[in-house]
Amino acid sequence: MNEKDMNTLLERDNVLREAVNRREQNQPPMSSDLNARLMQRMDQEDEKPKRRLWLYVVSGVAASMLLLLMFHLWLKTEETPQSVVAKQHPPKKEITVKKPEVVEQKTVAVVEEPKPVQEVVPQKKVVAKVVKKQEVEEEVGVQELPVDPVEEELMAMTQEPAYEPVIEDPYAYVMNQMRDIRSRGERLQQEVAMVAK
Amino acid sequence: MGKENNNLIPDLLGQKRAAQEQLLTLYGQMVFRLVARIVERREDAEEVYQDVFIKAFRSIGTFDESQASLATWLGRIAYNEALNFVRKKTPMWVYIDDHDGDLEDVGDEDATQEDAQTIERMEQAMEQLPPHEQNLLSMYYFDHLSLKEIAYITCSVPTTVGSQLCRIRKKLYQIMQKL
Repeated sequence: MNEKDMNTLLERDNVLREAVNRREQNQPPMSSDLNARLMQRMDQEDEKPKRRLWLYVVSGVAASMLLLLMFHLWLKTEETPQSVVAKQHPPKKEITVKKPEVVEQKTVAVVEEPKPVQEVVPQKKVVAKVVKKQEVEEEVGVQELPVDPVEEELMAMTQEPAYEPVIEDPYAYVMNQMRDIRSRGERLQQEVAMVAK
Repeated sequence: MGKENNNLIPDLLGQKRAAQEQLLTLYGQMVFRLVARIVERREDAEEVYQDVFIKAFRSIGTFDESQASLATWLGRIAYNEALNFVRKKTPMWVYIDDHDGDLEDVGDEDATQEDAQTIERMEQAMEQLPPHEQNLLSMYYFDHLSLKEIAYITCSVPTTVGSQLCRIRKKLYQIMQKL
């Protein structure tokens, strides 16, 4: 059966048509205020997205502010340990400043000790060398010169510090040498005076 | 069909309130009848009716005049909304194909008996049809929609609608015989 045949068959059925018409007429009509309610509902639904938009904007701004605040606080908490460490460091620096003073005291104390040793040693050596020189001169038979032993003694004394095993303080060492030279000079002057007599 | 003025659709596209009210005046009754045939409870039918027009106002941009008239387009939205609503409420329907009995047994000569008793029995038989089948009959016999228009509303093809109507008719006569 094609579309036209079906149409013809259906159109012919007046009983069905009449039954449908009666049934439709018995249906209650649409409420008179239904369209008004519909328009009201539409107005409400139009307002909802606007309210939601404002809510989203406000909540978005609040959330970003909160995030910024949290970030700021986090940065602050990051700084505090550093500041605590920085506060703990300065006392250590003070200690390091004081240390050099202690070292200076030590050097002074060390320098004072060698003095008697250096004074004693050259006297012994001088005696020994003088004796040897005299023996040599006696063997060779050269004329005795009273000044020669003194010069050799001086030379020996000047050379000796070069073999000093430990020179802890050069300044103190030089001072000692000068004192030593002075004392020898005095002795030489005494000897010269004695020879002259 | 085609009762609207020329500016109605452009005004609807512009979301003008006057145009929306005009659409309700022109096609409100038709849409409500269509919905009420499928959705039995009046309150539910009114809710679906509102949903239909809200959807229509929002999607007026998708309306294509070359495919269907504005009334047919509204009918399609109403039909689908009503069916969706009913499907949520009542999942089971008795379809024509599920019905017991041989539909071919019903003769065409019964249609000629046009007395009041037959018409009354026919009305009673119609009560036993599922709502969407009642709706098909109403669209054809009461709203005077063509098979093509019904096919557009029900997302079908005219021949299928024609054969569905024939089956429904035969089914009605069979129910009438049992009454």
